[in-house]
Amino acid sequence: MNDMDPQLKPIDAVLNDLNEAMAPCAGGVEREDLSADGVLRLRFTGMCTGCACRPLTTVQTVRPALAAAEGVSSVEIANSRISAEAEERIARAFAEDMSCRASEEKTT
Amino acid sequence: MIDNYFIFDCVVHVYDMSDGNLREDESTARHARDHMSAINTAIRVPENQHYGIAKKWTPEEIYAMVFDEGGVDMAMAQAVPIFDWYKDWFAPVKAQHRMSELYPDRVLFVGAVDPLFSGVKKATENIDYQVQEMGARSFKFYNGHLRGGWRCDDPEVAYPLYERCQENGIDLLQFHKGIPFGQQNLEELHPGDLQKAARDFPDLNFLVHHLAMPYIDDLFNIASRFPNIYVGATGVFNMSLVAPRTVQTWIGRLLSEVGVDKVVWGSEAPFQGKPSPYLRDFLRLEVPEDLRSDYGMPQITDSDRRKMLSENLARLMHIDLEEKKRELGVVS
Repeated sequence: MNDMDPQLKPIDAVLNDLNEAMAPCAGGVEREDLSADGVLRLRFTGMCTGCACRPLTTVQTVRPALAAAEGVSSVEIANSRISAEAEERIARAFAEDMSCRASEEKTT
Repeated sequence: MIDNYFIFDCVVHVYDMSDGNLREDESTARHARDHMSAINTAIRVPENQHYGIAKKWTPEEIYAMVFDEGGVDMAMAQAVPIFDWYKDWFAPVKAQHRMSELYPDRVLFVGAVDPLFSGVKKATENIDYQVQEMGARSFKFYNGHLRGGWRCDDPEVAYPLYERCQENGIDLLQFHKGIPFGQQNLEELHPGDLQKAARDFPDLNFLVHHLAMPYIDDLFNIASRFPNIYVGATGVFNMSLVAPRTVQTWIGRLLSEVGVDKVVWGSEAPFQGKPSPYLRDFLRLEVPEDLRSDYGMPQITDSDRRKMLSENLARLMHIDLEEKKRELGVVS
C-alpha cells in the first residue's frame, strides 16, 4: 500500500493529532504498514523510542485513537510490546479511572 | 535446519587456545586461557561434554560440529583480535578466512583488526586487505586489553577504522562487550562508548555481542534508543540448562524493551559444543505466566524466533534468505 492510498488518509489524520499531543515529550508515532486485513503497524519515534512509558501510551492513547479508524482491525507497535496480561490490566485501570472521574463530575 | 527453522549463526570461531599459541612472555596467559575455558565449559550440556576446549580447531572440525551435527545452515566465522595472551590471536584471521574459503556457500568471513596491536594506519590497511583480498563481510572489534584498551568513540583511534570499513562497503560492525577474560578491566568493555559512535556513523550498524554481560540493563537501554545498535544474543541463550529462568527473563525483556527486530542469535561454537541442543531448548522456551503477568513481558512467538535465528542477521548482511535456501536446497 503506498502513501497516496486514500484508505490511509483518515489514519494519517489521527496520527497527526497523536503526534501533536506527543510533541511536548519530543516523541511521536509513525505508520509502518497497513496490511490487507487491517493490521496497522506503527513505530514510536523521537524520545518515545526506548521510553519506559511506551506500554501506557500504547494502551491509553494510541490504540483507542486508532481503533475507530476505518480499515483498522488491530494496532501493533513494532518497538513496543508487552504481555496480554499487562495490557488488560492497564486498560482495566484506565477504564475504572474514567468511570470514577465521570461519577465525580456528576456529583459536583 | 532445526524443526523447520533456518538457522543463520552469527558467530562461530575457528579458535586456537592450545598451549602452543599462548604467549610465553605474558605471565597471565595460561590463567586467562583457563578462565575462558572454564566459563564456557561450565554451561555445556551433557551431550557436549566430550568436545575439547584448550585446543587448536580446524575448519573441518568446526564445520562438522556446526553444520553436520549442529543444525545450523549458515554461519559467520569471526576473527577476534585478543593478542594479550595469544601469539596468533585467540581466533586468527587466517583460520576464519580459511573456513569461508572451504565452505563459501555457508560461511561468511568476519575480519578483525586492532589499532593497539598494529597502529591505526596498519589496521586500516589490514581492513582493505581483509575485504578486498580475503572477502571479509563484517568486522569484529575487541577494545578491552590487559594493559589498557581503546574507546570505540575515539575519533583518532576508532573512527578511522569505521571510515575505512565504510569505504570498503562494510556496514555491520561487531563488538565484544562485557565478559572480560582473565583479569582485564571490566569497565573497558562497557557498551556506553558505542553511543557516540552510533550517532556519528548513522549509516553503520553496531552489533553488540553477549548482551554485554554484566551490562545487560545498560545495553538494553542503549539498544532501545539507538536505531543502529543491535543486540547479539551470542552464546548466552546457551545458559538455558543452567539458568532457564534467566534466559526467559532476557528474552522477555528483549521483546518488550529492545524489540525483536534488533536481536541476533549466535552459538559461539565450539565453546559450548554443537549448537543443536541449545537451539532445541530455545525453540521450546516460553516466557512463563508470572513474567508476563507481573513484569509485562510478552510471550515469544514463532515469528520472533525466526527473526532472531536468521531473518534479522540476513537483513543486516543484505542476504536474500529465500534465495539462499534455494541455493542450499533447504526446504521449509
